[in-house]
Amino acid sequence: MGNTEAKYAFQPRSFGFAVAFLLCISCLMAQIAYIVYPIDGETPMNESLTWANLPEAKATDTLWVDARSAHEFEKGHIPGAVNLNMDDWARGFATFSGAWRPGRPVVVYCNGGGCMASVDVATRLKKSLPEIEVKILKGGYPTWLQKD
Amino acid sequence: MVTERLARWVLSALFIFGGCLKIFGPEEMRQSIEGFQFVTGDLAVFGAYFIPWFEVTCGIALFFDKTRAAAAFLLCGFMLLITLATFLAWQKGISLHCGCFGRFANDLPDDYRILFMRDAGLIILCAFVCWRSLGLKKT
Repeated sequence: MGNTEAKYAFQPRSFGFAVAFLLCISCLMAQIAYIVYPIDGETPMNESLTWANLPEAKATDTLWVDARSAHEFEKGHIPGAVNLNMDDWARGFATFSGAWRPGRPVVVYCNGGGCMASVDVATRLKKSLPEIEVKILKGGYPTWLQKD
Repeated sequence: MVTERLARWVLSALFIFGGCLKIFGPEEMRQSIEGFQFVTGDLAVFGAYFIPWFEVTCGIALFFDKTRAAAAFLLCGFMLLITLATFLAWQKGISLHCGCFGRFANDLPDDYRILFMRDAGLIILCAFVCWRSLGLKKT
C-alpha cells in the first residue's frame, strides 16, 4: 500500500551551506559598517577606568561625576561625586562647574553593565569642555561598591 | 504550521527590530559587550558591528525556506551564548543592562529573572522553528 514511512529531507550539506552563508553575510555587512562608520577613537569610551585603577584614581584629585538619575544619586553615590545627567543638564552642569577646575581629572559613572548614561555625559562634557580629561568607570557604581 | 509561522514572525520581528536599533550605535554596543566583562578591545569592537548585522540577517533569513532552519539554528546558538554570558555576569555580581534593544532597554530594571525568562522563551522559540523547519519537507 505504498511506503508510509516519513523520511525527513534534511540535507546536512545545504544546511551547512546556509549556516556559512548567513555568517558570511553578517561578517561582510559588519565589515562594510566598520568602514562606513568606524568607532571614533577619540570618544571617552576608549578612556575607561577599571577597578584595578581605582586606588590610583582615589589617590588623585579625581572629580567623580554620577550620571544616574537624581533619585539614584540620593540613594547612594561615590563620596564627593556630583550628579550630572542628561535629564537635567543645566542644573547638573552648574554644580559640576562649581566643583571642576581645568586640569582636574573627571571620571563618569552610572549603573555599569551596558548603561549608556556615563557615555552620554562624558561625550557631552568633552564637547562642552574640549580640554577636559574624562574617563568612564567600567562597571559603574556597583564596581565601586564591590571594590571599595 | 500556523504556530511555526507565528513563531517565525515573532522571532523575525524581534531580531530585526533589535538589530536595527543597534546597527548605527556601535559605540553603545561595544559598551554593552564590555559590560559583561568577558571581552574587551578588538573583540568587543568586532562584536559591536557583527551582532546587530547577524541579528538582522538571521531575522530576514527566517522568511526564506532555504535559510529558515539555519537562521533559527544560529539564533538558538546565539541566544544560548547570551544566556551563558548573562548567567556568568550574574554570578560575578555585575549590574547588567544587556543592551539587547539599544537605548530602549536602558530603563529596564536590573532583574536577572526577567532576562533569563526572556532568553529561555527565545531559545525555545528558535529551537521550535529550527525543528519544524528541518522537518518540513518529507519524502
